[in-house]
Amino acid sequence: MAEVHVIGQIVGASNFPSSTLFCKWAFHAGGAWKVVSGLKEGQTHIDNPEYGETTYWCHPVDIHFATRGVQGWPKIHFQVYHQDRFGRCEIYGYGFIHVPTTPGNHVLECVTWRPVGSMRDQINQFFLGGGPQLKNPDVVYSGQDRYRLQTETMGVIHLELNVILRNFHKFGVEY
Amino acid sequence: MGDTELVNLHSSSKKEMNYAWGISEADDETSIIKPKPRKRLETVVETPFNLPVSETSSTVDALPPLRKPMPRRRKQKEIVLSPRDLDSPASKPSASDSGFVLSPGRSSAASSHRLEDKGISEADDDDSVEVRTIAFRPQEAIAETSFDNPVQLATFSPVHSFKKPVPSRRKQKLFSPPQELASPVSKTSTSEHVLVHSPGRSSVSSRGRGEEKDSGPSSLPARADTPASISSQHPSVGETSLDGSRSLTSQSDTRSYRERIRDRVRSERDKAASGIVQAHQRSRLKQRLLAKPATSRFDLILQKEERQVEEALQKHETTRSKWKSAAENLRKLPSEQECYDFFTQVWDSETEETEPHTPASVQETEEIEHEGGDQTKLITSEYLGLQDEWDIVEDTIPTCLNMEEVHEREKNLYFYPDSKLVPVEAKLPPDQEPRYPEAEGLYIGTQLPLSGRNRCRVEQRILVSGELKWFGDDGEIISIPDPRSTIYYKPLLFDDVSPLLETQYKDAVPLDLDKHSVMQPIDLNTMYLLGIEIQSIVFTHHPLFSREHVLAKLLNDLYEKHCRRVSLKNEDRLGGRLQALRRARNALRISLEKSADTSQEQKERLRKYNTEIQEVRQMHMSECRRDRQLLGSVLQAWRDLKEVRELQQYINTPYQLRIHAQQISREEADAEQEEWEKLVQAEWEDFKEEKTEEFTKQKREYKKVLAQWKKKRKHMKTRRQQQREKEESIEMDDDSTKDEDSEDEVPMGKEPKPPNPIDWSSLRNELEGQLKECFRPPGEPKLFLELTQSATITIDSENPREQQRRAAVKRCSLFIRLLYNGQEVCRTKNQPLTAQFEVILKEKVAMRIAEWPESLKVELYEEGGSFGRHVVAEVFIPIPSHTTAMEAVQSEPYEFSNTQVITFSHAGVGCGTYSSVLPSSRNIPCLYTTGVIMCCAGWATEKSSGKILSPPEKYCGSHKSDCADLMDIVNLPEGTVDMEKLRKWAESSPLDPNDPSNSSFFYCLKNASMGLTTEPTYFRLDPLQSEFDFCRMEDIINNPRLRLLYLRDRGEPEFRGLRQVPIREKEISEDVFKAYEKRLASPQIEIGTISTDPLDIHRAWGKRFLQEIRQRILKQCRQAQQYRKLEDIVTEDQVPDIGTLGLTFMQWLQPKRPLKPARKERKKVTVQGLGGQDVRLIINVVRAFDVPVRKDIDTVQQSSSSAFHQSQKFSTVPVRPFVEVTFQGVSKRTTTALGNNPTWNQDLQLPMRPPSGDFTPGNLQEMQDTLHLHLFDEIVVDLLEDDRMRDTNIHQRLERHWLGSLSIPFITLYHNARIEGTFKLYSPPVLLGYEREPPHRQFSGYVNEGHSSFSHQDSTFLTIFISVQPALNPPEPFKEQLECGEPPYLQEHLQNWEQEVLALYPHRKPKTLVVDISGKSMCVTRFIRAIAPPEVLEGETTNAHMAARFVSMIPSVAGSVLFPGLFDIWLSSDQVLRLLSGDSEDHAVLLCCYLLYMRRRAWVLLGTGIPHGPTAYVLEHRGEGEYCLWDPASGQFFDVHSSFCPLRKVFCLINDENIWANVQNVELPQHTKFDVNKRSDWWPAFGRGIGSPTTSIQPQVLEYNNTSPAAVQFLQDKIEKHLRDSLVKWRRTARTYWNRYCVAILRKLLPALERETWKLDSAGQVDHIHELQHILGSHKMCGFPINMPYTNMAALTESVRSTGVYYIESPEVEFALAVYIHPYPNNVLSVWIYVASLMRRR
Repeated sequence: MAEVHVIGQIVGASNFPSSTLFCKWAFHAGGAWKVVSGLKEGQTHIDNPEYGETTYWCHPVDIHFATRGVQGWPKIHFQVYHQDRFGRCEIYGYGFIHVPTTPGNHVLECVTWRPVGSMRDQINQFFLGGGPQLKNPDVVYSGQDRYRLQTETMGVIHLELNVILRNFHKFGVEY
Repeated sequence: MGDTELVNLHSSSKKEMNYAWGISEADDETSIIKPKPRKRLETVVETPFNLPVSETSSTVDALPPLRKPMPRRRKQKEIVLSPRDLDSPASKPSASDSGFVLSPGRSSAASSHRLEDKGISEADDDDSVEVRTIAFRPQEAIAETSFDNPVQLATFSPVHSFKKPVPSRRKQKLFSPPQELASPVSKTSTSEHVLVHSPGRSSVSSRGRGEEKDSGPSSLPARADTPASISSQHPSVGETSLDGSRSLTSQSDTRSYRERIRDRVRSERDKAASGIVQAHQRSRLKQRLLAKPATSRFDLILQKEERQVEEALQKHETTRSKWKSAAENLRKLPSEQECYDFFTQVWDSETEETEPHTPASVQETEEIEHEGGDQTKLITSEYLGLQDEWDIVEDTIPTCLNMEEVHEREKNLYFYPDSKLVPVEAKLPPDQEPRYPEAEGLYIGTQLPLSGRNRCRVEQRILVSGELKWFGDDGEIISIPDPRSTIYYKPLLFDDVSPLLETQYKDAVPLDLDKHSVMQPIDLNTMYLLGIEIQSIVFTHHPLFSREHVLAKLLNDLYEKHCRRVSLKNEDRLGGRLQALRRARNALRISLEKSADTSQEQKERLRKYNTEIQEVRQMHMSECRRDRQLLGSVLQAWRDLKEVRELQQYINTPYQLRIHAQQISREEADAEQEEWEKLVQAEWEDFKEEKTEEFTKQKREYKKVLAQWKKKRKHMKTRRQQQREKEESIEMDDDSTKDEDSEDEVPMGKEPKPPNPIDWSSLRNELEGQLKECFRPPGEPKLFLELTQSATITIDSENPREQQRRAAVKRCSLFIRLLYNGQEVCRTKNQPLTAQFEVILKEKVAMRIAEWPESLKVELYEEGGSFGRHVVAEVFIPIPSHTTAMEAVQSEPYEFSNTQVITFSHAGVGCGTYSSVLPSSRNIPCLYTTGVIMCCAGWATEKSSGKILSPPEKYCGSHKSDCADLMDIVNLPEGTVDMEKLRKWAESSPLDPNDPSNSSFFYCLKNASMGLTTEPTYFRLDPLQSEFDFCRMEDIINNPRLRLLYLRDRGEPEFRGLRQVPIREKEISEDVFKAYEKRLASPQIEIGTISTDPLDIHRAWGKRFLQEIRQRILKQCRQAQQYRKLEDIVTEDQVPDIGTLGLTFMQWLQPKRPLKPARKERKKVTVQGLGGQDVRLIINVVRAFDVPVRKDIDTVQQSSSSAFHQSQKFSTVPVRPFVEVTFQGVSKRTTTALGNNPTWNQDLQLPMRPPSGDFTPGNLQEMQDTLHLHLFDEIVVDLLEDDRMRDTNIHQRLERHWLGSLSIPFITLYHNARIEGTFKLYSPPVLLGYEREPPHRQFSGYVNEGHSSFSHQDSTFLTIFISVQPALNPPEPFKEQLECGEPPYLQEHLQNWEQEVLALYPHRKPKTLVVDISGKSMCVTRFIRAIAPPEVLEGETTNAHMAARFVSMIPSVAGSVLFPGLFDIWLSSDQVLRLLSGDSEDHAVLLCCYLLYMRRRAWVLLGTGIPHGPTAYVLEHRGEGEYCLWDPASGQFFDVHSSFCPLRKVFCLINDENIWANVQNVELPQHTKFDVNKRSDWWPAFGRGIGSPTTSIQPQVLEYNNTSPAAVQFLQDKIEKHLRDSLVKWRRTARTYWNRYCVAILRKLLPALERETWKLDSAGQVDHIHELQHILGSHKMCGFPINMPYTNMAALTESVRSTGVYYIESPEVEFALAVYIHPYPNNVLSVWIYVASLMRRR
């Protein structure tokens, strides 16, 4: 009955082709995990930085897990969207990152990618926006082979997480 | 001469040459690699030279290096320098910096020739120095050939010069070596030379360091004069000048060193060349040596000067004049003739010198080796210094070899095997025949495919190499068979990609954040068409079934079953089998008898036969029995049906059973009899056999048991005997032991009985009976049944019940709603129900789906028949698999059922009832509506392509294919495979066992069935994962701490306010969850368990009920409030536009009116903005009017007559009031003021803490705290005993006497943002010890003489202003459109009307549609109806006051508390009475109803009152424009003109006919005109166009139950006791004495007070005081009665406590407390509490 408490924030994103971004995030943990309190998923606001290239969301994350095993250690996955100047949204990246397994403060970076479509798609994308999107975003964090996906790298999401572990030592997990 | 200098010279010259010749490496090489120069040179030079030569001049292109090894040849370039300036020393200074001047090509040619031919010794010397460039050579060349490329020129000039005089061979010779033209580039050296031996020097100089070597050939003189013409060029040469500057330094440094070196070199030379060097050389050397020192010194000085003065300038000039000089050169070139001469001269001299060169060269190499170290070092340093002048890197053109030659060479190196076929004989050892293993039947694997050509090549090659071992016996190359496998070990990855990985192009779309669609929308480009065809509905039971129908259905069912069994022919089948078995057994038996030796095996077989026969026989019998039974029941049902038809005399169903009995003729009968006998016989034999076997078995058993028993008995006997003997011998004295012993004996079993002998005759009878039961006995006719639908249905029956039923059936119609993913897609037309309870719908629906299918539901609605429209059934139709095309599906029956219980008065049987429908007593179980829907669903196909328009499989709902079934079987949770299931699946699946691809599967199955593979030999993670678990999931769920956290997070009401959760589980008390679990477990607790009191139960029930509704609404509200708008989150000041700017400008222009300040709306603070701030209530208590004054002056104190008291007595202050404010347990008080109209004008601040610190509107709305204001009189009691101390001491006690109070719920404050005004305090009807000032002293000017009842005698008023700091955002009205119970036109009309009124007066919101408790909105007029009030007093008709009193005694709850979110929920009167609570509107409605019943004109008036904000009053018309107002909550009534009427604003009037909105400008009741007929004043909602809805939702008559007096009495006692106890508890520090006498009197007084409120008699206060006279005489008494409706004990206690009676701390004080409850009907209770404190007068 160990507990993991994750407190922190999704600081922002950088290196994306455009910086008017928002992101949807969600925690995903295995079956042995139970969310005791806190929100499992959410969406940040749309940040449109006027100065600098970095997008800042500073979206708070506070979730408390109880677990009966270390399997399925929680991970956060992201879907970054870009809002263009017409107010339309398009996918800008997928990514996931594991919650650190050691307690303490962690500054993390989650790299993201996004699928590349066919030539036609790319032309469409260039002129009309939009873009190929995963039909099933679970692929982002599942062990599914992604060999067929053609992707391009997108930017980096910055996180700052503080992890508090409890009772792990009782079960022989050392950190 | 020093070496260093030399080196300098050389290297620089080397550069020069590089530049000119474009061959850098080769030259470098030559210079650096001294040790074996010759060889090296050859190789290296080879290539570089090739190219330029071949390119540029065709004549010279033959390549020497390859062709001829020229051992001696030096390939240095020889450049002859001819320092022309030497000739004229005078010109030297200027020339020196330009360095030497190069001799024209001819001279170089000459020198080189000389070198070549004559003296290699010199050339060898040069080695160390070697290559030089002659910058000016080209010029000459240009002159001749007019080439413009200097490099080329430089290269070729010699050629040209040679061309003419020299034979071609010569030329070659010349060119092939790298011409080493020693050019002493450094000025210094040149100058030396010049000085030394200018005449013969030219050659020397041309050799470079010719000085030392004395290499200057004999040609010198000739040279010396030639350059005369050239000398003019010298100054123009930039390079040389530079050179000079550099060499200067080195010279100065190393002068001595150089000399030394030179000496040494010279000595070496001399030694080496002593014998060889010719005389003239030596002499020259000598000359030079002699001259040197002077030269150098002179030179040095000159140079220094020059450098200092002219360096820069000259450099500049030289560069500038470079080209000029070049041009001049062209002009001044020596004529061809000259050149030729010179050339020839040199040529001649050279030829002379050719001989001695060999030995010298050997010498030289040695010498050079010596110098090597120094040289390299210096070279590098020089490089660094010279970088800007000389390029280090140079582009070279890649060389290319002559292909032909290359090929030729390759030919010798490579072997090209032939691709000709090799004859077999060649491949085998001689005299051996080829042998083919295949022919001999040996296995040959497949060979690697190899093209024939390649194979031949390989063979040829092997053949050539002669290694025949590579060939096998058959003449083929020995090779391993093709190692490639045809099986793929890894599946191909190209196809069959997981659909998970599919991506989809999505257009950029504006994000609709408000919509939270759960379903994933489908791309609209794809087309998915789902088709559903609903064909018919057949009811198998329906409430409208008549009895006959039920029976017919039963008959039908049974008949069908019968038919099915008949078709199975179990009888014949089993009979045949039995016979066959018998035959086999008999045969076996016979054979056994015949053969003597009966093997065990055969016996066993026989036994097996027997058992099998037994089994089959039994089965046969049971099957046949069942058949016959079924037949019987069919017949029975048919009989019942017939009976019913006869009974009811009409026919409802067409069913008719035809029974064909096949009569049997006699012969047949006989035959049958015979057969029967046979059958019986056969059976009997078997039976007998069985029985005998059984019997023998039993017997055997018996014998065994008997033997045991006997043995035991014997043993017993012996034992007993022994014992007896023992006993006898020991002389037993104690009987008990004996008993014990006997008890010890094992109880003997009874003697086993032998098995009964078989009574064969009875057994036979039994068997025959059985057989008769099972089989058709002989002679019985064979029956064939046929169910037809031929019966004619009686069209009109006489039976009225049946007629009703049929009418109902006719009325009944059904339709179907089709829901896809829970959303209605379509509904079919209403189809009537046929008399046979079928509905033919035949509707086909195609839908194009936009969401992935999740559910497909059919809802069956019935209309007409029994009820209005209602759902009969819901059937979920499985979503067809993605391969199911609409065309291919068959309609399938989907059963439905319904558990509704319906009974009818007509002939319908209803459903869910147990009524026996059958005439025979046979019972049928409870029948419910059941039926079958025939329908089918499939995906449409595209016409053109036949493609099924279905979404991909994974989206196709939960439908599973066969494969999925398989997966179910295989993927058991434990990771094991259920073989049994798998086998079954394999049997049913269309897998071909012969298909090799399935062979492994079937093999596995076979093995499994043989029990081979039982242990799983694989590893799976999941089952083992449990080992990694820390604990079980239940532990987590049951962990109290985590659970607490979880529930807190979920916002369960019990835990919402929870702030901190302990970190350790043990710190959490176990009963934390009790309340929560209780709520979960029993939503409806037995109310009886709460309290035994019926009155309490009633209230508790009402409270609970309301609480539930409240919870429900709260939930809705909270959900609604979660959707935040942008404004809720972002506060943004509006950007000023023209309008606002204009307004501000206007404001400046407006006149300033400081005396009329405009109120500025305070900025509302958002929820988020409140974080961390403390919110306070600010109460400004301004003043009070009409405070009662003390009447009773303490006579005792008066008698003590102190000066202090004197002064107090005569003071004009009979009362010292102050106000205490209490909120959430915090109290603040004002200062004490004086007089009966005190003014405080004081601000009090109280903190406000919302539950759980949450300031969201939703949470604030739930606050139920109330702000209490109490008015007290402060009495100062002097305690000072000794008068003498009075001057110095003050010893007083403060007492407070309660005068009145005011309670304002926080919700009111929250909704109104502030409360401001003069409020009437609640004050008791009697205040002992106090009295009001006489009326004339009152300032109220509105006292109407004629209406004394309206006087304000008994009321005190308080002016206050309350607000919240910072201002809280009031909640948004909950704008959820609820279902409306009114017709749409009415709804629309009312809404429009409301809108129009709001447009006129935005704040006067009339109420038109209100929500009743079921959540439907209703027109308000429906709530009002004349209803009889209860009988309050026996025998008296209830008057208005009584009714008002009754209404006011119904506990009231502020509407906003009850239903947050500004919900308008009105309760009907019966609900109010049942729930015993309601808000002001409910009270008003009830009162209005009563008044209407009393034939008074009354309206419900909606407006704003004090202190509750929006309230409802009742307006009564008293005739002649006189109106009065009833406050339903308090039961008081006011004249409309009363200035202290708590009603402040009048918005609208409602009665049963109409709604009127106040459209007057005034809204104060005093000023408002109440004539509703005046349209200009009151705007009616309903007029000519639309009338108000007629029916009322109020019941016609309210039922009133009498309240039980016993319960009231009990409650009264309970309350009194409780209050007494409480009072004692509050006075913790002092003892409380009770004055029993006083209590008795008070009890007597209270009922009168209640009666007084009915206004029957005007007994009044006088009596009251009179009654108390006794006590007042002896005691100073202070007290008051409090009246309130009974809600619960806590409320009563709190109200008593808040009066502060217990504050009196005088030791002599006594208390009196009396409680009276007046019961009104329906458990409405009016509680009177009389509290008084008494002080004995002394």
